[in-house]
Amino acid sequence: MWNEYFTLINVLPGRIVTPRFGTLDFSDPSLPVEKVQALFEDDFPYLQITPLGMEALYPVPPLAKLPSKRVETPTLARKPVKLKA
Amino acid sequence: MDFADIGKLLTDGKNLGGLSQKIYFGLWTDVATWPTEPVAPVTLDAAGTLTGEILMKAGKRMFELYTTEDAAKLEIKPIGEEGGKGYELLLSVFAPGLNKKLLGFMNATKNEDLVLIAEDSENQKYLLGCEIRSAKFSGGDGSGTGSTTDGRRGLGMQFAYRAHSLYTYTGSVPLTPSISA
Repeated sequence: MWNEYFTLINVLPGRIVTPRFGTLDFSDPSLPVEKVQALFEDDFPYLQITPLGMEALYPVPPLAKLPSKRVETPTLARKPVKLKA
Repeated sequence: MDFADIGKLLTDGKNLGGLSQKIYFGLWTDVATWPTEPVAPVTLDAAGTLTGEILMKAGKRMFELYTTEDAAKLEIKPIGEEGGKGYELLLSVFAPGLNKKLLGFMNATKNEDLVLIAEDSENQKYLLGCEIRSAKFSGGDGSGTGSTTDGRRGLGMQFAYRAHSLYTYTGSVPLTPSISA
């Protein structure tokens, strides 16, 4: 259901003529999530995404795994220092 | 602004005339936020488009008015003297029947400040009304019972709005009451 992923804000649930899909009834929980998501991405002023919607529709990719072994940086060999007699 | 070449601007050859059979209306004083006009637009497209949405005051909304097919139209008339040109948008609609509700609508709007939105057959919307000027009932044609049985009963209404420029409206129309703004 779309209203698990998005919350209607600033208006009571009901009909709104949308630029992209014509009249949609936002009191209907069976509106396709794809349509609601497309409106949200168009900056439709009456939608806010929920944490669940954020997680389901815009998952954050897992961070790249860090190398487990420490990488050794090569050090330059030092020349032996000759001491003056 | 940079001018640009203007070719045949039909998407897939579509160019059907007329308006949608739904007109949207509301009280001008019920609008909380208006879409904004372009400021220093850099393209012709931007110079002909409003930005943003019409948002209503708390508890207020826009309403729908049915109109008979091919009986509604939006006319754009240039007005003004040289050096002071502008436009008058004239929206004509015909609501069939002489229902009490329609008569009440006519009574309630005849001297009222209004905002109207009309949509053409290519889904392009036009807003009549702005922050400083409302749309007004300006007359009508064909209102009454008709004179013969093959005539029609109904109300023909015309609304007028004067503006310095012409724009399309790309926002939404709230048909449900606002709870903020």
